[in-house]
Amino acid sequence: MSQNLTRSRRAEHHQAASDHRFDVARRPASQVCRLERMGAAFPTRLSFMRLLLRRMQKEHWSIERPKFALDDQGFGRAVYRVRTKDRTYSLVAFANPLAADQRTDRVIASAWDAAFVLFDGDPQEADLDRLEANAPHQEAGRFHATDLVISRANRSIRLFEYVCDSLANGRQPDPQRILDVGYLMRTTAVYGNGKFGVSDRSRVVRREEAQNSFHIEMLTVYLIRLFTFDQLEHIASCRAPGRSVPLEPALKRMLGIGNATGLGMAPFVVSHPELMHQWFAARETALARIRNLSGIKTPSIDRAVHLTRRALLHLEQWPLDDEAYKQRNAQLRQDLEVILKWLMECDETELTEQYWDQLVFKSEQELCVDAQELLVALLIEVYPDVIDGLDDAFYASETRSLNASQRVGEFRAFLDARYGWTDRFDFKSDEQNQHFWYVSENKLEPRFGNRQTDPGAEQEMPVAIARDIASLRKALKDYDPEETLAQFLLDMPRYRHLVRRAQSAGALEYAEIQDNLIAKGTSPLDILRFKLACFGAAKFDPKSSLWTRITMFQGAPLPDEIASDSADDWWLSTLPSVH
Amino acid sequence: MRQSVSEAKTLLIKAGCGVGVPIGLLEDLAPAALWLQACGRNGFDQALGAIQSLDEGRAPHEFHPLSNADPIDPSKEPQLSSIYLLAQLGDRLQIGRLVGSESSRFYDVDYPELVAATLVLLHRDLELDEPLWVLVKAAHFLGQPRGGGILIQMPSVTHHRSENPGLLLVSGEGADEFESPPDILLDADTEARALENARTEGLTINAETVEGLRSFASRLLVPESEQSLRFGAGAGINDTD
Repeated sequence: MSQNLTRSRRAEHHQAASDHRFDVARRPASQVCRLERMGAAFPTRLSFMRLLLRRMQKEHWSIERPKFALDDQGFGRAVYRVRTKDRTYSLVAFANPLAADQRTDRVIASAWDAAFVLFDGDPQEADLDRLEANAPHQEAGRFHATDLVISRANRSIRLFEYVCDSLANGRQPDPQRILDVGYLMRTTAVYGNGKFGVSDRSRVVRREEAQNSFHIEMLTVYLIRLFTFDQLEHIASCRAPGRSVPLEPALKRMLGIGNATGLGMAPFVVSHPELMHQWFAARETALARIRNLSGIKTPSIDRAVHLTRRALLHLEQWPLDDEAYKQRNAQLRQDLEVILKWLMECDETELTEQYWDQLVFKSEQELCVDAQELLVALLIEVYPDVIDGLDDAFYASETRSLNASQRVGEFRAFLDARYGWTDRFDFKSDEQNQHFWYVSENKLEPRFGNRQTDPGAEQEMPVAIARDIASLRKALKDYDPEETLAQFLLDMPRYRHLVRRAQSAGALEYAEIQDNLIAKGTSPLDILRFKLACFGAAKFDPKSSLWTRITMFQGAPLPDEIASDSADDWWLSTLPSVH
Repeated sequence: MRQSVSEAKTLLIKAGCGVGVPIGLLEDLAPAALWLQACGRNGFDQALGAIQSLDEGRAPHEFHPLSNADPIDPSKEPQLSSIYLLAQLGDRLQIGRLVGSESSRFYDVDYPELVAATLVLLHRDLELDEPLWVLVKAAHFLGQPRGGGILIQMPSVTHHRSENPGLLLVSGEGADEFESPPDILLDADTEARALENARTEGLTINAETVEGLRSFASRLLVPESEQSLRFGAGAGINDTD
């Protein structure tokens, strides 16, 4: 049965492939754009943090610290200047005392240990004064068009003081404690693209280094990471002049920037279908290129073995509280051992064929989804060259026009072809309508309500694309197929945004999450993990199905290491000396 | 006050949703309001006014019955909502039923410039062969053929059709509307400069207008249940992490 299924799926796969220039095609959206698989995403070589650091390396960006005016306790202002190929960006940091009763990770907090602004160019003293009056207030401040990104962060109480004390006493901290937390500071928000009056993305989108989505946000976080190291070592040296020691680079490298991520990210994924398509398509194209390789060489197998072992160690060093995630990772470790065995036992006959395609296929038959997706990320790591031309594909035009002259019948046929997947759900059932998305009055952030028990369903956010497209298809069914959409939309204006969305993005293969986002059992965490993995975040540490902690840039090279040949080799980073 | 374009657009759409306008209509309103604002014509004041018209019942939440295009007595009719009309006329422009041998006239449109801006922008995108004139009391909008530039001209002060402040006239020809050479309020160069400035610097919008939009947008906010506050996203965070 299993073999028949395999053969049948393989035949299907090759049928799909015949439509493309490759023998083996990209994985279809019906497989890839599903919550379960999105919730198993891992960072890849195409993740934004990796793209940024490779660009920094390739274009020889330099980082300077023209201002570092902190007092003995680490409070004050600092400026980090980044010189790119064509221009300068500056991270402006303000560190302030924070009363214990004001320390909270909530997005609605009003004070933080540190506030940051990524400034477009070199800030003058007047700019710094203006920013000092606004940046610490974050949402309550107002910003200029020169202010590209704002962020804020709190020290990790578990780690910051411990490491500082260790250094002040002339010793290095325990590596295990570094791994248990993974960061000295965690951001609670990183705002760009016009939020709270900062610059629109349109200001920078024509710049090569800022064209990819979230690149300047990632740059901001990388520079915040530098600030945390400098602030830490500064405080330690002020406490014990002559006795303190700097943090060892190997330990420093394993400190990233933490983040607590909630539901705010989920509607973004739904409301940017063109961008989602680009993100998915780049990864799937890279994978398809690898699956089409034949005549696999031994060094590639050796590299895959090395990376699989690293992934196993990474799993060991992945701190988790959530029981379900612990079980998932336990299964993943077992399945990674299976992959390792396959790699170790492959013979030369297999290698002459499309071995990686066979391996991916076998993983889909025999391993958990987490392992399947980890294998995808791993293979992209083995072949750095396959992503040529994909590095700069992470942006999209989101100008949507509506073609009101299209005939109802033609549009209906298009929807049937592109959105037939919405037929999987019976929206008459309570289970398929259990939840709704809304914006909380208390926190001004998206929330995931229960339609049966929570108030506010009438203010539902337009996130339930599957339900709404199903409703549109039903409405069109009863309409004269020869009539124009202009007439249909006069009668039913509530569908206008959906018609525009489908006409603009519906033809893009990976634009839509092919699941019902309001069904019972839906885990918004799956959406969050997908987006965070695209950023390059790792060590997801869920606190519920609604939010997770993550670490960004853990294992990333320090500025003076970026030029080295191995600088990019930090996928699923580990600290070997602990074991 | 300075607003980013994306912030202003999001706020406008939320404000419209707050008074029950279908989101798809607001997606048509936003480009017109943003373009007018960038070009110095208070698009957001007008958009807020149009939202208020709907909210206060001065204009109904409905499309205009275009089959009856004869002039009507404005004193007996409610205002036409520019938010509904701009989408409706934009669609008609696309299907070729807006500009025919006769002009289309509408009386008592609450904010006719929003409709005019929508039509000339769409006309440019569609690269139609014929020019398009949209005449309102304060300005005449000309969309030049085949994706050419947009002109906004000062109307003739003696123009008899401008007596109704809510008049909107759509025509394929407009040159004979002027008794003397018109003052140009916007041409291709000034538009390009205005849009570039908006792209890099954002928009300046009256603080009262922003506040008015925020007030409507806040109607979308939902108080969280006790359950959500205790167990929802962000709840139970260890603040001493």
